[in-house]
Amino acid sequence: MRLKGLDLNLLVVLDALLTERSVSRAALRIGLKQSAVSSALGRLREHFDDALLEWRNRQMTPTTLGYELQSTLRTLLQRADVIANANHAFVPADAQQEFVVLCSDYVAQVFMPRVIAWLMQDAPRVSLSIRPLISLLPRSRNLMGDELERRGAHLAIAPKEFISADRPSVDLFHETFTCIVATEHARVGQTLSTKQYSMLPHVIATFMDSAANTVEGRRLERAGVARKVDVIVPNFLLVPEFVIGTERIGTVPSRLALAWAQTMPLRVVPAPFAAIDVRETLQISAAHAGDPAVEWLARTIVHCASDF
Amino acid sequence: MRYRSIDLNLLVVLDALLDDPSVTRVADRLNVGQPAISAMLARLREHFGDPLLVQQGRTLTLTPVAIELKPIVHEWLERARVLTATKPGFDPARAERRFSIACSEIVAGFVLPLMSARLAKMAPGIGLNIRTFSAFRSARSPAVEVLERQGVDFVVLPSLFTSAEHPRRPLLTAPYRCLVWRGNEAIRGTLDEATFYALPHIVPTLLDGSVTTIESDDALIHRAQRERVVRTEHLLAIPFAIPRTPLIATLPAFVAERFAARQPDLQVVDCPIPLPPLAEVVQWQQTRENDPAYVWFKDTLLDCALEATPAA
Repeated sequence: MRLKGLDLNLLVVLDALLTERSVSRAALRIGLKQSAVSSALGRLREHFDDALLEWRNRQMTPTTLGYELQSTLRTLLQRADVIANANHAFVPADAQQEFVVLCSDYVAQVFMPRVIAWLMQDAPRVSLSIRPLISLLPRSRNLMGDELERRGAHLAIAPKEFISADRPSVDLFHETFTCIVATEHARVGQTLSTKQYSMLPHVIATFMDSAANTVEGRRLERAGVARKVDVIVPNFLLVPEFVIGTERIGTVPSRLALAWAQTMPLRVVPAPFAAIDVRETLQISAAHAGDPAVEWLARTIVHCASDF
Repeated sequence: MRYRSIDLNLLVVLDALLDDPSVTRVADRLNVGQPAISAMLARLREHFGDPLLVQQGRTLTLTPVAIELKPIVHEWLERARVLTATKPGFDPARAERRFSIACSEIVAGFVLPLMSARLAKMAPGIGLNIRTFSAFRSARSPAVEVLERQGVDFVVLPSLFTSAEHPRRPLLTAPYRCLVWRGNEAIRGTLDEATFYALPHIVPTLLDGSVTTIESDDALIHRAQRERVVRTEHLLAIPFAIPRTPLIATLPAFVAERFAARQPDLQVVDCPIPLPPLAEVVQWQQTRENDPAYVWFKDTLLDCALEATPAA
């Protein structure tokens, strides 16, 4: 049975080729011989009347059509997974699939180790791929929108204001912000005044170019608090590296600050502004709604958050 | 050319005379004839309407006006000296700007903190804007994407991903070692090949999960990095996921050692598999190749990379 003359299983090979950009790696990925992958690529090229991947700068690079096909193809194959899994109970101990979860570096440090430990015990043969939220953020509204599907992710964990209302979601836990300074900081004592906060240099974590593109940045801007920004880093986990041994202040989630203060020469001082509360929320990809495997993972994550 | 009727070159002589009130010695010091120094002293006296130096016995001493002038003239000349010694180009101490750099968390977390400490000391007006590559999955190479489309000043990437269209220099190389939980019972002091392949791995990725930093087409390594693994874009969160699990993280040696130094429940063991070392390359805008500010920043960055990887 073929659709428009194309063996649909070739699409699995195409997905592997577009992801790996190498015949030998694609072969390893899907467990075929290199020669089989090469001949599949030949048939795909003939079908699409396009090279799909070509040599550029000694690297195999998708053609324009290759790029266009990539995300549609991924969504299509995800739906195929759902169909294939339908009516099959998910058995964690036997499952071998890969789950893709989008989350911030903050969630990756403070929360995901619980999920990983759980998976190691209950589903030792599954793989987990943790990817950044970052590319969600340039778009201002409906951030989670198609990102989950476009990037082939099953779930995302993100602050509530970044998730979309038209997909299923569950509240996980909440977080506040606090400040960190170097242990030996000469100008900051037990507390931090608003004046000190605006006079001293800052290192800020921002997902994109502007300080306003952070949860705490947006709120500070609304409250009219200005900061003198010295260093901009792309995530929270880099902040302490630029605070230790300097005059700089970092404004970070409290759980991170408390964990760092145990092992790094840092002090935690309360932020000089009203508490910022962030609610981390689990969102499920529309492409995977009803997939028993993804539902199992979502339940596991909610369970890990219950005593967090 | 004179300024407010005084020949500024006279101030050099004045400074010398106030410092050591002797026409003979100043003439020697400045390598000018005594009559010339005497003539200049006369013009200075005329300008200030004061004798400046008066004979007292066999020596010259400073008048009150001269005593008042002494520190002012001296300071002015120091400034003039700094100003005239300025070479065309870039002065880090005075520069007011921000450099942007796109790199992996390995470089952002272990090389750039050294860079920012140097900036604070040598170039306090220079800020850093650090980005990672996670957002990019474009048709072009990530180097071309960030340098050309986003106008980022510098990009640091594993050598495989560099672009031939932009200037480049090797930044650092580092061998790989393995970071594991100290309580991992399968590993007693050393990690053998069979155990390396038998245990699950936690693998750092780049470019939205599409690549791992270890470049090897070896089928076993490939499987170890793909099946039954945790792949994560958040390198700096890796040490927090390892305790109480059998996970192995194969990381650049200097990164693994820093993680273990901070978390006593982790240990570093040699990697039993021969792997090509990580090689990171810095690239910058072709059009700025001769910009002295770029040259300074790049040279300082190369220095910091050396400092971060003492073993290499």
